[in-house]
Amino acid sequence: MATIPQAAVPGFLRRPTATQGFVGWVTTIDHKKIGALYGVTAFIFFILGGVEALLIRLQLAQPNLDVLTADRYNQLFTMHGTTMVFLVVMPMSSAFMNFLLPLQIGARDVAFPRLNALSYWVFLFGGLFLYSSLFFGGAPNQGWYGYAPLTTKLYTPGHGVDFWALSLQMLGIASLASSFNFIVTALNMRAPGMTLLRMPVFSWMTIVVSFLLITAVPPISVALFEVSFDRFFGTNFFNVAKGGDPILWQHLFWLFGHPEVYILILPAMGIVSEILPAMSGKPLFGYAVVVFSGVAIGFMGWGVWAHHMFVVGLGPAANAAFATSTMLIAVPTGVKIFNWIGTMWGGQLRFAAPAKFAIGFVAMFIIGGLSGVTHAVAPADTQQNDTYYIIAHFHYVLFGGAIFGLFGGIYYWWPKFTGKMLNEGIGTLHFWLLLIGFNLTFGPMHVVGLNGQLRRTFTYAEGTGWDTWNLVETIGAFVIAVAVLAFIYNVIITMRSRVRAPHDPWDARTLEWLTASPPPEHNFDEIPVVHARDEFWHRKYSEDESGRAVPRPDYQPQTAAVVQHAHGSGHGIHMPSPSYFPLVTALGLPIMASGLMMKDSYGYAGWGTIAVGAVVLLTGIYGWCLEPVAEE
Amino acid sequence: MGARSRFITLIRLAPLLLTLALLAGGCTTNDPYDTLTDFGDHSKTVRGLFWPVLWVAIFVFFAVEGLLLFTMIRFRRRGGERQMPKQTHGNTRLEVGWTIVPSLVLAIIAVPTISTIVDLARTPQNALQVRVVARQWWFEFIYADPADPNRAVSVASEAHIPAGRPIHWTIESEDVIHSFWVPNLAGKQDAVPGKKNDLVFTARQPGVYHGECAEYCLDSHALMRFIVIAEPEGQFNTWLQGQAQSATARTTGSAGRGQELFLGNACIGCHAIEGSAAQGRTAPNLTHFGSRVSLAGNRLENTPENVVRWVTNPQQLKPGAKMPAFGGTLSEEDIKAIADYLHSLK
Ligand SMILES: [Cu+2]
Ligand SMILES: [Cu+2]
Repeated sequence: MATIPQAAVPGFLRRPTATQGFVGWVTTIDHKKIGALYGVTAFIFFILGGVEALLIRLQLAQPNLDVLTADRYNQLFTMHGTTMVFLVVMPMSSAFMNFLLPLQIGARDVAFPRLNALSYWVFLFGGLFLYSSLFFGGAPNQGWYGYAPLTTKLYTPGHGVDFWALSLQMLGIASLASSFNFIVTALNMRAPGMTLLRMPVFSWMTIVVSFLLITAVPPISVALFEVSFDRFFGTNFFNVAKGGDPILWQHLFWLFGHPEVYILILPAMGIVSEILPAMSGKPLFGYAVVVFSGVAIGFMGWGVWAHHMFVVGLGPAANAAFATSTMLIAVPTGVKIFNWIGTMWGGQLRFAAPAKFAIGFVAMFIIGGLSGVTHAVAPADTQQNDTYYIIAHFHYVLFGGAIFGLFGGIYYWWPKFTGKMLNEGIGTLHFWLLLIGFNLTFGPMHVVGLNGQLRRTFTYAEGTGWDTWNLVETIGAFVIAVAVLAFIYNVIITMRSRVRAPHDPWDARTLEWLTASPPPEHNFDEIPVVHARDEFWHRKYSEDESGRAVPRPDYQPQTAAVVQHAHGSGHGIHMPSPSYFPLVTALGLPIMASGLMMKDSYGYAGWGTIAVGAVVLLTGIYGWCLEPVAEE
Repeated sequence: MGARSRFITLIRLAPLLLTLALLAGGCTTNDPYDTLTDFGDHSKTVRGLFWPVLWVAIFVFFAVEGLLLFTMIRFRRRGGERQMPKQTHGNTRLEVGWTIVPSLVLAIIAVPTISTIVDLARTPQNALQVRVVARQWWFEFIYADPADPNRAVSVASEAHIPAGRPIHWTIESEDVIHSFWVPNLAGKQDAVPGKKNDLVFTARQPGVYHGECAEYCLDSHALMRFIVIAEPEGQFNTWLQGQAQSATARTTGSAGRGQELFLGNACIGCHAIEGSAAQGRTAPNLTHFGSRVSLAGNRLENTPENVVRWVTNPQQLKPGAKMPAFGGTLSEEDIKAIADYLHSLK
């Protein structure tokens, strides 16, 4: 590749060189820093979504309370759902994928580092754009699933739905960009010898989730375009009076929405599939089955969407078909659970914090999976749909599942991310508080749900039999809050501590532990040559004739000195320079979106803003194309 | 195992046991919105399907969580192990086994599921037809006039039905999506604008059953409630005949003044009182308002005082309610007169 000489490019096209400080962060294209940005941003949104949940629980602590008005309540549950799905679990998973995928497959970065930065900035601006609605007439109040025709201007004339639809559109762009990036990375940039079936399970799940995203995002993008056109340009996709069809939205939304469930859970499953083997001192039981059941879940996830629509009136044939397909998808999910238990079986399990969260994941996910089977029984679902029983179910999957898994991943890879260990004692406290708070909050929802309490209701009458359990749920929610505070405290004291983590604290198995912690910018001084699945483990151990692991006498554990050396030895490895243009390109989108919302009230000013946004966007794209490959 | 690990076992079990206790506690109530009852044939069928599936789930729950717990305890690192664990990579037979067994269990569950789906979609011959029209935030129930089947009889928020006879509800919406749900009697069915949905169920015994809108429909979704009054067939027929009559209101005293005010104000733009000039169709039909037991979608008892509260400021009782607040335009005395008039409409 020919490098354009520095003097030949105009000043604004010079690539920035700072790797530290504010400029270093906003121009970074290092997958590890982008992972960190994703993680921190997602965690801040987690706090916001959590506060929203606490307000919801306060309002529902007793019947007929007036903590919140109906409209505030409706905004809060809409924001809670949208936040937790799009701004917490997805980007938090993305943080892990960003950080780990290149390290796990022995690559120096992702395939398209600048595109990776673009994903993050678009995600950030999408999230901020959604939250800015609070300052412009109120947050969206139509529910995270935005059923038509609630989303038409006739019923929601404010800008809340506009903010929501345009923000989701941006988040979709971010997801698509990072998915293509991860797929190309995983398929093309694996270290020599790293065959597909030697890839760590988390990397596999990254591929599956990326494929799911590039197929699931388009339906919702189309649907969101339709909503936006109805609202901004007076089309009639969902205007029933003009022959629009509200059910169309539901099909498109759940065609995205169900695969989305697996988009949220598969990364956590990948994390658990990394933690349990390391903590048991055994390889993952039935690696191929775990990988293929992940792929199978991905495929089958496409054939079950209408189980969200059993009471819409699709008719008995459709209901029977989707009930059956939904039951079927429980099989590969169940298989994974048995394989995890099989992994622990015969091992020497260490109950360090990552193991606690991983096992907590398995235990809670079993409950969520089983209640899921009871919804698949379509006639029973006519009594469960839209009740707290459903809320209980998906929180056992997405909180007891995804969030526990992600916390497990945070404890497991924290030494890899930062070079320091999170405190084990506080981690244990965090785990137990979270487990207890979680079950207090969501366990009783099974009961009140079957007893008829509906979701998305800002209040309930006396004499329904729900008061006591609702109070318990509210108390549980605050226990969760304390657990999260314990985690934050843990992070703070760890960051202040000077104690360095051992090089290989968990006796890990996969390639990311081969390099220093935190890894140098170029990841590996020398790209490793892979000879086996669990390459790192095989460098440490061989097996005796009975199949037991025996330490290799020739293995040199990395020492602090080696780590130091690694930091200084990156010279001669060519890494791309940072760039301003992903940020500039991303910035164009929220500007254009704002203009779109202004055009009805402010006319030309709105169109002008759209034009400004377009210019920013195009500047970003052209600068991106024209800037030199690197700053020498 | 030591006392300490036994204690840990107990703690680990606690949330699971709690959940189970909750489940067991949740199945025997007479609560107004309980879904697991046999008051309706539909709810009874669903319950009959749900319980066996739940028991299977509970069994699997204990089996798998038990296995998990056992594995954790049995294979925990005790310290001082002399050897590393054996590196087992899998076991094809076991893995095939735990793929096939769940598949079989699910296949067994699928059979009654599908047959029940088909059964519940059948409409018996002798069913009584009732149209349900959902609007933000109330339900309208429309019957055919027994004397003239082409004439519709409309009531709001309180449906009467004959107990023991199947009712064929045709469910529609005039605005956004709602869902018609009487949990004691049957599963829910959405009311989708531009679409007619069917639901058939029978109240097996007389009683007052509570219903609510189950699909989020903005502001007052939580208050979009109604009741279904199941009564013996004769009583129901009398009720329906009464509802089919035009209003016979007193036209003297306060009620008479109320009538004048009602007919001379914006009320008639939305409300109908059969036999009068009020022929609005977008708000509840008030022809026999005095015979209703509740007000504002089963939110309040139907007393003159509550009518005054409602007319004065409906949004205070039901956020977003479409009816304008008359507290500013009419005097308290006038509103009282209107309440008297409405109450005279038996
Ligand atoms: Cu689904
Ligand atoms: Cu509703």
